[in-house]
Amino acid sequence: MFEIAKKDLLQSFKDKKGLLLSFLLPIVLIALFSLVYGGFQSSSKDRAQRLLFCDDDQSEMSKNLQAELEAEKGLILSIKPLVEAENLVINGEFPSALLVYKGFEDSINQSKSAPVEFIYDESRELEMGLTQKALMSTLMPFLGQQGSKSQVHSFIDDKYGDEMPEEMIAEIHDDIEQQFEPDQEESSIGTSTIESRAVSVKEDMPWGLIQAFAGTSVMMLLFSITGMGSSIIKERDSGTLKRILYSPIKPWEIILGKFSSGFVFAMIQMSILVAFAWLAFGLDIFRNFSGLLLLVFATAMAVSGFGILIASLAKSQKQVESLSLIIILVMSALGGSMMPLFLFPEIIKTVAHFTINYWAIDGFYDVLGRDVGISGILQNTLVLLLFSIFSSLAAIFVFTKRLKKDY
Amino acid sequence: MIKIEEISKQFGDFTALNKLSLHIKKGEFYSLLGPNGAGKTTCINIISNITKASSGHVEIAGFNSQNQNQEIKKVIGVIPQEIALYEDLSAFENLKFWGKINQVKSNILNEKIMEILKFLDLYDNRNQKINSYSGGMKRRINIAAALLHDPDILFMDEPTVGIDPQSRLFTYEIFEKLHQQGKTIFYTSHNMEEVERLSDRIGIIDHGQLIAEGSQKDLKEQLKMEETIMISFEKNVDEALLSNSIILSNSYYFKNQQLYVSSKSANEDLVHLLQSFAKNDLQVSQIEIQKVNLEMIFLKLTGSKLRD
Repeated sequence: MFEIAKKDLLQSFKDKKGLLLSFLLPIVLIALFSLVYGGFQSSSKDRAQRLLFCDDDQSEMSKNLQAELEAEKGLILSIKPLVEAENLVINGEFPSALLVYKGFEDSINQSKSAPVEFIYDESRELEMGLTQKALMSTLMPFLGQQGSKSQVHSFIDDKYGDEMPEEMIAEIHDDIEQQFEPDQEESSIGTSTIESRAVSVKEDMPWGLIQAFAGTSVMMLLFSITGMGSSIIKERDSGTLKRILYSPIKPWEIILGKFSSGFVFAMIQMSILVAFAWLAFGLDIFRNFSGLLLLVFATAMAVSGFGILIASLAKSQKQVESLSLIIILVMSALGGSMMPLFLFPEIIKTVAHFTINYWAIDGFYDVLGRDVGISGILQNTLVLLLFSIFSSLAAIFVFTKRLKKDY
Repeated sequence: MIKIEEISKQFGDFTALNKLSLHIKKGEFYSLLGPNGAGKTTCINIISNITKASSGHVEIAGFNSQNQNQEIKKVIGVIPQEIALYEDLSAFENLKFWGKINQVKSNILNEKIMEILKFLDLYDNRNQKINSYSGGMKRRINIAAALLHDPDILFMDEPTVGIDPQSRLFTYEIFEKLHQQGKTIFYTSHNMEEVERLSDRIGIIDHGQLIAEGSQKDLKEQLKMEETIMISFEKNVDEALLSNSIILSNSYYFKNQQLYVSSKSANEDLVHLLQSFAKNDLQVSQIEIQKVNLEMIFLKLTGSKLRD
């Protein structure tokens, strides 16, 4: 098994042009994409954005606000206690949160500034434009309306409370409530403001570079390793596979040999790209270095499994090329290699979970930009390793079945 | 050493082998002769255990192919028809890989490689990449890769295909030396000369069936064939015209503008042939009476010519 891996690596390193392309192309693309993502901030597509809503006030008014936000099509609301909010955003679980503090209803009734805060993950600053747009279109009218309504109620009570019968005052308050129904009072935008702040573990984090590095590395890794995995087809066509089968080597050992060479190559390629991002762009790779190593390992495993599975499924070199091109491009597009995922509709974001790119890129965000520790990337690592195990097992199954058919 | 009992192999509707039985003794050089598509490679694939027979039984060196696959693979070496080498690696790197794959111990592998490279006269070219080798040199490395683990049994599947005449002779010498070393050799070919030169026994296979078996002498006796009349013509002759001229029941084939006719009584048949050529205005330039060759035997048995 290791002999096959050693031989494959020897062949790969003898192909100087191929080698140069494997390492140089991703480097060029990382540089290019990091420039592109740097100037990406003006995007304002109207897409549904995830928002964490934390209601510490638990008043009728804060519940009304929650209901209004849930009805907003541009937002997908999740509810969590206030104490968890900041960590959930920092850890990347949610891109942003709206924090409604105690005294929310009282402040509005007293026409004071509402104790509401909007926090967001600095790494997702690009998508905040979209979230804020959706949020503000609901929140500001709500606050303005509630503020104005309170002011009118207070005015009636102060001015006529002692002079008019209670029943009449109550009737006037009912009329005021009806007048402030949302469909009748679309223009009542108040003057309330909310604080917003970016939360991240470090100021000026190069999120564009992290996106470019993670997205491009994973995509290029998939291409390189699928190319290496396709050596099974070359071996079959040249007769060397048949010759290997004459030896005491078992079919599953051939697949694991190919897997191993792909894995070693992927580790080398990733290491070079990490080193490049560190040396050329100053990416802080040591902030969670053990996490980074773990993630590089898991990504290399997943990609190697994918490579041999594609090579086992294809019947010819041409099929490997076209199959891998289609699958890798689709997976890269859906998984966030080409564009940050927030630009896509929610359905695509869900589908992204079925790609290697998504889990690897999300993990790289964690280890390069967020202080999540090893535990924060365990889920990503586990999913990538599961990808690797299942694709390798599937490759062994398909390969063995094909051998029986071919010979 | 090799026992094949009634093996059959079906690929869909196509029968590649049909109840083929062979018994090959230890140290014997056995050649399976047949045209392309006769079932030779399928036979090697089955007995070397990479293809499962549809039915039948194979025993190699006392090991049953059903459940002793790994043991069999350790005692056999296969020289495939194609050059199954890594073109971008050197001869040494190739042999190192094939040695390790065949479980040759690391401490003796280098020595073994050098020994074989010298035996095959390729020692000086050991660090050259295979893609810089000539066809003959590639063939020799292809042979070397099967010898590293010193197998008792060698399967050679048309190992001289596409080789130049000089290299071919050198390759024959290698095979003869291996035979002298006591290796049991199972050889497939559709080349008459090499089979005639190398084999102790010959099996003739056609459409997946063994149609004759024995030494060359045995085969001639079985068919009661004694001589071959070889006739050359002054001008190029159309084979179709020639076939009209021969009113003999004897087998014949036409190759390189020469007619070969099998005969039990050469003198009588020759008179008959010359009369027939004269009638058809065919000018004969040379006549030779030879001992019957394998090609003629094959023709007699199968009714068709072997393709080179």
